[in-house]
Amino acid sequence: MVIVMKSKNIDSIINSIDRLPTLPAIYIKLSRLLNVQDSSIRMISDIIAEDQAVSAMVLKIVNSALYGFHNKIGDMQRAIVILGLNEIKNLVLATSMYKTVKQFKSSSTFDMEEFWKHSIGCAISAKVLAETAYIKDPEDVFTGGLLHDIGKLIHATYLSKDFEDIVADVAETGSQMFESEKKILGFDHVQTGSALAKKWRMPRKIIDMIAHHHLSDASDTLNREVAAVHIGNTLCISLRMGSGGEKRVPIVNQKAWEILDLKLSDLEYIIQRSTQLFEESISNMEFK
Amino acid sequence: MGMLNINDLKAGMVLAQAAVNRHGGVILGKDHLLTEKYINHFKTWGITEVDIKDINSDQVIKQEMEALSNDVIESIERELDELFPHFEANPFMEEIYKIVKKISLKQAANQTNGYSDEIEKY
Repeated sequence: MVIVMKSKNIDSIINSIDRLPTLPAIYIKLSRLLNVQDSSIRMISDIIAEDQAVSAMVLKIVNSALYGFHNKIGDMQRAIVILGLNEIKNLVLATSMYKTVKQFKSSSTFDMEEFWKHSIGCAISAKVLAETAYIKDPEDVFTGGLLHDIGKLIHATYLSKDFEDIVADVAETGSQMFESEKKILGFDHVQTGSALAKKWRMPRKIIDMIAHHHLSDASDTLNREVAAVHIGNTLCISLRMGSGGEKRVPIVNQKAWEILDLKLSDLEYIIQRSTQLFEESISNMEFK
Repeated sequence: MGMLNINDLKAGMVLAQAAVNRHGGVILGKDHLLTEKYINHFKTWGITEVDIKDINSDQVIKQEMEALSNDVIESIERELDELFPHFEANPFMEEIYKIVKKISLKQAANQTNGYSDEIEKY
């Protein structure tokens, strides 16, 4: 009975939190502008320039070994031309989410820096999988990977007492965190995370990647984007890229691997490329 | 001969087949002796594996393990067994376990060989 009542209340929990992480204004403006046909590169670079910290970080990353350009790219307009709008939007979301996560305090049960690394590790692994499997918009998969565990941030911050019990249960039983969450809260982080993404008016595709990335339920939607985030999550936990609090590697759903239509011999390349991009991204964003 | 991952190459190995990039272009011909310079060149060209004479990938893992003490190998295996749950008949999970183990052994081998300040990026 209690469980039923609790699970009905995810939306009210989300609505009652007054310091809910907000989707950075710059990302919302940028998404809106990118949907308008006659937006110019000048307009886009002006919006990014409004947030100095984000634009400085984007330029730093553009000039890093991650992209390997020979000449220094000094201004945003050139960066947009060279990288393309989707990649820029990606970088803006990653850097502004990084700023958001940094505002929250780590606790003994949830380390923000580790959580950030886990998020970026999953985003990168999922994107590399998407590119290797020729998924149409690997950028969307990156976004889905970046936000897949955002519900954990809400639980750790606003339901901190329950969260302590969840962490203890994960350690004791070796369960996946979503199983302990269901036991203790009556709902899990994919529900909270997707409710938040809905509130942020994220596209349906992204909400699905957050909501179904565990593929734990027969009713979960399985498409190629969800599969990439599902497997990206397992890869980054196996490779110990940061931590979202899980103690064990989640077993990959075989159907998810099949739907990507990749060969097992592709895995070594995928892991190698993801690890390399991860190291470079992390060195560009020092968590202080 | 056997296909070896780019990260398993060492100077002194000999190409059994020409090393080709993703578009099929030949970067280095058959029978060439590898040097560090060529190996770096392959990386720049995005080559992920090449065919090498007289060795295969299982032998590489074996060689890595020979350089390590039993204690180190056991502690790596223990750590991975804690991290990975039991899985049955799941080829994907078997493959990823194998790759993660190889990376861990390699990092440990590099550390014992005194490259600890510059752990080779996998």
